[in-house]
Amino acid sequence: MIATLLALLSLLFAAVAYFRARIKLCLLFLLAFYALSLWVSYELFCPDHRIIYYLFAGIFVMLPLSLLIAFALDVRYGWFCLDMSYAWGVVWAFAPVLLGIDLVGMALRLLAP
Amino acid sequence: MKDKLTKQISESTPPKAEGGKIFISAGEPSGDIHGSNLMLEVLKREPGVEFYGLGRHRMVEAGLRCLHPMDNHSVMWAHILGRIPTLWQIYQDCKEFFKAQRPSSVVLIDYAGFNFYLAQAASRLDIPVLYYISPQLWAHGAWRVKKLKRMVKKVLVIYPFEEDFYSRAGIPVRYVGHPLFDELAKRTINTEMVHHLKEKGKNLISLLPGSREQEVAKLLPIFLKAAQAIQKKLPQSHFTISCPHVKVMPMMESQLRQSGVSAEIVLGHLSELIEASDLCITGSGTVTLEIAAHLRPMVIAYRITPFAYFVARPYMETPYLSLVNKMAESHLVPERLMYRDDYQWIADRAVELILDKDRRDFVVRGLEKVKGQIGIPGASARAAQEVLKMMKGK
Repeated sequence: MIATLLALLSLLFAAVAYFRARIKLCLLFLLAFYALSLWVSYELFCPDHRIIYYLFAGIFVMLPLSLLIAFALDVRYGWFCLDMSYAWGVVWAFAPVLLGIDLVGMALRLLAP
Repeated sequence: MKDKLTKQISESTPPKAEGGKIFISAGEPSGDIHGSNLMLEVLKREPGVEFYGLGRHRMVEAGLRCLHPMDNHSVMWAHILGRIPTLWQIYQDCKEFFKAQRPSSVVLIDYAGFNFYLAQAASRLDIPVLYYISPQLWAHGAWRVKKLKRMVKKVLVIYPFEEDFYSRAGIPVRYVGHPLFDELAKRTINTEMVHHLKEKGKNLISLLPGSREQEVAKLLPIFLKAAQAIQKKLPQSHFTISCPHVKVMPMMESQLRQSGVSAEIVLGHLSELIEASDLCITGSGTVTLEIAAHLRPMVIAYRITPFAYFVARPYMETPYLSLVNKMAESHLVPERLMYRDDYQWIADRAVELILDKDRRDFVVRGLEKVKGQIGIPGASARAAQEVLKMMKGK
């Protein structure tokens, strides 16, 4: 429960930092968010639904993080022809979904008899 | 997928073009116009030059041997995913063409999303690349200038402030002027039509929601709501809507019917429409420069989703939305990037510009200065000189 709340707060702080163009601070909060969310997802899904957990981790954590790394490399070295800034679009579209899944999973666990 | 001409061109042994062979690529309708003007200027100087590449009807009329017509590929980011397989095929065909035909130079016109790939393919084969109408990296994505530096031999820029941006990045650059003003210099204004439009009453306000269907779908409903609000304050105003081509006419008609605003849709005749207008309400594209050339006050608005606004916000590198304000280095004309239907803001600014004579005069004086800086014809001719220089390896 506390981890989920901390993940929520981390995501909020990351969004504020991003909007104010404090990208490094944003990345710090995002890393905290991903670590906390992964942990919550692990607790919720891994014991009974291992495949779902790996699927979530792949789509909602590994994919956006890989794209962000690609974007950072592009900014540093200019490797890609494509404008990689769309990586942020993926991050901000997927992060609330991951949080939502964790929140629903948490709620179901609390409501379960 | 591969059409006959592409196959014929890329599989034949390289024919000897007397004046040299240039590959040219433009994806947008505006790129097609500027590309055709550039081609005509090159051919004026070197009639033996052969042009191959990607373009639309204007470039084909100017003599382009078109590998793929680009009529359906002017799309915005959100809609591009479905076209990836086709664009990939076009890219492969161009690569094949580069290998088989080895053009003496590659000229890329705007359309960065696709043309960057062509630049990379050509530069890997040591074919010199000239980028004409460079992507507006100074506005968004300045870091991409690094890759441009690796891929192109020279950039021809169309705004004076771009020269400094590229030369600071170490890219050979030349400011050639904006080709729009070549096009405007060629156009003759139908004065009868201007009179006809002006006769309709006081305060003619033109709505110019853009040339792409997606833009029209996004902007026209807001502009029509603004028109309604303006009509409440200035009942004697009347409205026209600029329709860039027949394809968007049904959409415009349906949006106009739904809005209940009384307005006339004018197909084409953009110069006449702007000339007759007391005020233009417009999107943020190149059309703002055309309005500036006619010294007409304008209100500029562009609509994006709140999500897109949020994602793009930290990487917006200029405080100006429009080229007119960027050129003026001040908020000379009212402009707003909207993420909700803020039509009342548009209406308030429009009413202010119509009623406040001092403000209006101030804007017109500012537009005169902008026009003085940029409105000099001859960009295509200057660009053609550069193309020929590169072709001859100078």
